[in-house]
Amino acid sequence: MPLPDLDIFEKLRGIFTPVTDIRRKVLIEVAKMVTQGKETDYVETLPYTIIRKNTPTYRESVFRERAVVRERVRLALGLDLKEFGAHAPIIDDAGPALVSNKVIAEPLINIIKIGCQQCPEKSYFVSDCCMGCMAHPCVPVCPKSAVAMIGGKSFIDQGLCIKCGRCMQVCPYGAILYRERPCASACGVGAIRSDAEGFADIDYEVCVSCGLCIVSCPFGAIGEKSEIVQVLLSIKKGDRVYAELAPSFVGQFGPLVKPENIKKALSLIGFTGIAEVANGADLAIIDESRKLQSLVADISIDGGCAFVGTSCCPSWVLAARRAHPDMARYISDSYTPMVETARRIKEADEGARVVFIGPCVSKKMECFNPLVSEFVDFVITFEELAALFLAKNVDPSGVSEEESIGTASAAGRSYPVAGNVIQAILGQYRKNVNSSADIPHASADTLKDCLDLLNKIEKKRIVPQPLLVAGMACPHGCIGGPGTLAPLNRAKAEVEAFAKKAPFQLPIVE
Amino acid sequence: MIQVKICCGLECTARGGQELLDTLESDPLVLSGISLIYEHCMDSCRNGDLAPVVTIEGTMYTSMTADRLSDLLHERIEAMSAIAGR
Repeated sequence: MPLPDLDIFEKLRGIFTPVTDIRRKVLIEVAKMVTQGKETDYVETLPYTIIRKNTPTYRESVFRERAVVRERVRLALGLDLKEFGAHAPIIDDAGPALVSNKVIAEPLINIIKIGCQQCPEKSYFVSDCCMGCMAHPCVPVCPKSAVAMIGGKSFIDQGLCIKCGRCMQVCPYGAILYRERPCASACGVGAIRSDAEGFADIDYEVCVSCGLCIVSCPFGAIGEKSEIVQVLLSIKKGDRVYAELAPSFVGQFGPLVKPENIKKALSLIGFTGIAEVANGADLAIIDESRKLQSLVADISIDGGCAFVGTSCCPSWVLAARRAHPDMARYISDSYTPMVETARRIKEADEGARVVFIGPCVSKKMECFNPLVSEFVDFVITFEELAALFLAKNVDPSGVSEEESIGTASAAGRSYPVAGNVIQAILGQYRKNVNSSADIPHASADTLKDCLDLLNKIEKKRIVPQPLLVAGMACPHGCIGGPGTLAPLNRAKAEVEAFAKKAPFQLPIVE
Repeated sequence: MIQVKICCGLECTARGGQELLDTLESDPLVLSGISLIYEHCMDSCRNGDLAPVVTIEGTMYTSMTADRLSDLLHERIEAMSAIAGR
């Protein structure tokens, strides 16, 4: 039995590849540069520290390998990439990045052109498995006569092919294959195209910064800007820096690391305090359940078309607003769990600086909004946090446990798994109204499925009309985020186990 | 049972250790033939680019990959089954 085909997002996940290795090495070396207080010109040596061998390992030339690393170092410092082909020593720009304030600016996600393999965008092609069969159904089914038998084998004229896929569908040997550029295939909003030279190019008017292209490119030619340098310098400067940990943090740093170890490890690298973003999720659950309650009380709003859309995933919210501006008003305006948590930290300590640590690239984009950056100073991923730990020589698996990490509810702690957001809000709603009534609801993960869901709602193809709609950009929810370290199944099991230890099933309404 | 220790220190975890665990735990044949121990940092990866580190019956293997680990364990399990069958 052949194994089922995987979605593009899943093909490279849970497998440690040279792409992952290089990405992490760059983050670790850049973090070490800061923690060890190296001079600025040290930054130019990093490509040689990371690619040590003088013979190529991954590409046709070691110079290209180091050039890609050089671009990754720029991104790790939070810098813009220079125009492809421009002479751009990192040292010329590194100075302004070596500060304790936010420096990253849009665009967040960048194509590293020197690393891009100019993959064909979309094509059907005939593989060696073609038997040159007598029936050759691929030929007559082609509506454009793009398929012919040449030299006893099927041949597709790419100039005539309209990519309808009929030839592939009818080939008895499965000899016709479809190939799509992985980054474009992973992009749920169709933001990745080709530039004039065939390199991948991001349309920033369309991109919603979910970051799935980053982890789907088999050549490691896409990266996002990082704030690890600025976080480390802020800590070094003596700022009161607080970490707010997204609920998917459990299990990310290995099976021996308990949540309490993480709390201690963060304090060892200089964080003043730690908060669970699941507490912010609790507040969002309460707020959105109340919105649902108001809607259920008057379902005739907008002729019965209204719903409450969840607000926790900024990429979903942005994609929904762009694709369906008419439905945008139904997306909840509640603060996201990240912002709620940061707001509370800053209420308690006015001079605090808050770092959101999570699986998301999207949250970095959310912080470009001044209403958000007022509360959240920096965003780093779990992968970036691992680099900080390693640079500071702190291993969470080897530190003592501290007291309990927080008091969030099981519902809030379960938020990062797809489907659980909706269950949490419905559970809270039922508690509010003291009823077990079922409320029509729908949810989707991955942007493509989220937008399909909205299309169906708009065309009234879901009956009854959902009153609660949840979207998440990443496959399987936040645990499938591009900044994670743990394979999906492990992450899911750990999140669920941690949720079971929560003191309450649902948030406590103050 | 073959004793397999996987280093769960952060360096090894971030450099492919989690994926090694995932590979082992999703292979019922391997899982039934080994005793798997999550080991705290073995301090071996610091001597170079050696993570992730695994020991099989006390022999240390560095820069381990999922397919190499799977091959090594399948070989040993098959050899042990053959001996047991004699």
